[in-house]
Amino acid sequence: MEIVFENVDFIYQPNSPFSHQALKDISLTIKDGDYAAFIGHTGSGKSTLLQHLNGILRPTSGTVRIGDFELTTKKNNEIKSLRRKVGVVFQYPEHQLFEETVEKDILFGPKNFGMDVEEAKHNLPTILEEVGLPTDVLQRSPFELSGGQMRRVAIAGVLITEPNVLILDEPTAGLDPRGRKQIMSLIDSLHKKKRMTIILVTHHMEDVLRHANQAFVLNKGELVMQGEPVEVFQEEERLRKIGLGIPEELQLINQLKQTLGLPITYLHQSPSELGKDIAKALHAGGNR
Amino acid sequence: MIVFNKVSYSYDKNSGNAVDELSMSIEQNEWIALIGHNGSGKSTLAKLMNGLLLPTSGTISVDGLSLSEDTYWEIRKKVGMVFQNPENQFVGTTVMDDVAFGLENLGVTREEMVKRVSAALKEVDMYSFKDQAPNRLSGGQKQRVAIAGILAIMPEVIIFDEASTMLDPNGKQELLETIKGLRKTKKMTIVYITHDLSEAAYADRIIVMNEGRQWMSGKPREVFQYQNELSEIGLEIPLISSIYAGMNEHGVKLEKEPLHMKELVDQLWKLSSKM
Ligand SMILES: Nc1ncnc2c1ncn2[C@@H]1O[C@H](COP(=O)(O)OP(=O)(O)O)[C@@H](O)[C@H]1O
Ligand SMILES: Nc1ncnc2c1ncn2[C@@H]1O[C@H](COP(=O)(O)OP(=O)(O)O)[C@@H](O)[C@H]1O
Ligand SMILES: [Mg+2]
Ligand SMILES: [Mg+2]
Repeated sequence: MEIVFENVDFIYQPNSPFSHQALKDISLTIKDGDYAAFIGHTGSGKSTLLQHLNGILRPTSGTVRIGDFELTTKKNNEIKSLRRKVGVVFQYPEHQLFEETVEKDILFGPKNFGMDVEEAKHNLPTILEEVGLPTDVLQRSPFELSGGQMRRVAIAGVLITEPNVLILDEPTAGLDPRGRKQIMSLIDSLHKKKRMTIILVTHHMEDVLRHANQAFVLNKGELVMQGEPVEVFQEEERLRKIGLGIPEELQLINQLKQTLGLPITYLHQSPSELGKDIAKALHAGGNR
Repeated sequence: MIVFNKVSYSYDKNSGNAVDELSMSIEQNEWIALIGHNGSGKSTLAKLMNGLLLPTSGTISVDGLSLSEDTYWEIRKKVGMVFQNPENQFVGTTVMDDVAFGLENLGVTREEMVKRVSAALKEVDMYSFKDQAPNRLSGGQKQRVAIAGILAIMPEVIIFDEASTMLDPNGKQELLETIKGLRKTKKMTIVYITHDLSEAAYADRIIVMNEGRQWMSGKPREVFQYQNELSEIGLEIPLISSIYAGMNEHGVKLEKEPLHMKELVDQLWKLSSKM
């Protein structure tokens, strides 16, 4: 499903002394099957933008199109069918788990959307395998699980409604490095194997570089840059001015170019491969 | 400043110890980074340090005071804690009120209160929000206000329990700079809990927790030598350390293990000018 924003403004509490414009004239397109990443300083409007994608918020002016579905300022009664197609894993999803067992929690969506619950139940083992949870968690309370496992339960609860678009708002915040890696590779496999459109909000620039094919940069409610991550991150100065950094490996490559004149190209090397490339470039320079 | 002697804590009799026979000490004015995978016992340890929990067995002393039912209140004033999740910590109707709240029971003059609150808000770069309602802020902004609330009380120890988790990279850097600044101007012991070993690199010493025990303790440079062992317990050495390991394997030897990008680039510059 293609997602298009056309001149979208969003104002919190309009016509009140507290009115605050969180999105300003946003126009963008996310193509079907993209892995899009949204980056921006805290408060730049990322979560506000995401909440437009499944109709939690409606634009104050402008239009959001998600496939055939159009969200405008007017109320739309088909919002439930949109929510089924566009699954959202919110920031700190563990705060949304509330049922007594993991099974009930995962089946909440299908019930809520009036789907065939028996069929959904039948699909549980497959979904659990996809998100990397053992089947014996089903009868446990979600609150006994580790942070990483709770995230997986939340993702499973979204996947079971078979959405076309998966939105994740800082899904790895608070996880340890291993947990973070596992969630990122889970998202990768959903993108590649199930061809889902992925929309990710993260502060981990290196994850944007490694996983996304489109990056959108927000600043104070405006869309200020977009493009392939490697290109976007080339504008180090511009990003720095709006409070954003670039991935550490790119920073290092830039600094080595500036201070030592070492020509190193970023080609998605692993850290140790990058170390090897730097060593080679150093030796080549030394023999000159 | 903080001494643990064979401390164990278990949340209930049927489960194992969340902190297990732990002995360690933290010196005054030391900056400790406490690291370990999710569930390794860091938060439990932090709550024992400021008397939010009392040990199941063993003894804890803070600033010479032995932790017990009678002293935990005193100890809580000495050890401030900034939590992971700021959502539940707000009480004031404005950011300013909220930061002032903790001071109200401490007998601070009105004038001093305003001064401290303003300084604390400036330190976390939230001064311009002072008249806003805290619940209108986004997650990271809320966290910075919570940090200001603790800074205003000026305790002797501040524990940051994954306080940077919700901050963007700039916010993280600001927090680290704030801590550096604090330590220059006053005696302040810092316990900084994180998963991010590049943030831990700024500490004087790293304590690595695993399964409720102290798995290792040492200077950042010493700890980062154990790349494989750390990865086995769910942790990852900083990117710069991994890159240096790759260079090292291919014949680039530097005088000292670089902890940050600047240390790496500076040393490479020296090295290449000799080549
Ligand atoms: N419910 C709300 N009412 C009023 N203002 C809000 C609300 N939620 C967010 N905001 C404001 O909107 C702006 C964007 O917030 P948000 O979308 O949460 O940013 P991000 O996710 O990028 O951190 C911020 O300035 C924030 O203070
Ligand atoms: N309130 C609680 N009740 C029961 N068990 C808990 C509670 N809090 C933590 N635990 C358990 O104690 C262990 C240590 O947890 P914690 O100190 O929170 O670790 P960390 O902060 O390193 O992630 C974990 O096994 C966790 O499940
Ligand atoms: Mg957000
Ligand atoms: Mg914790």
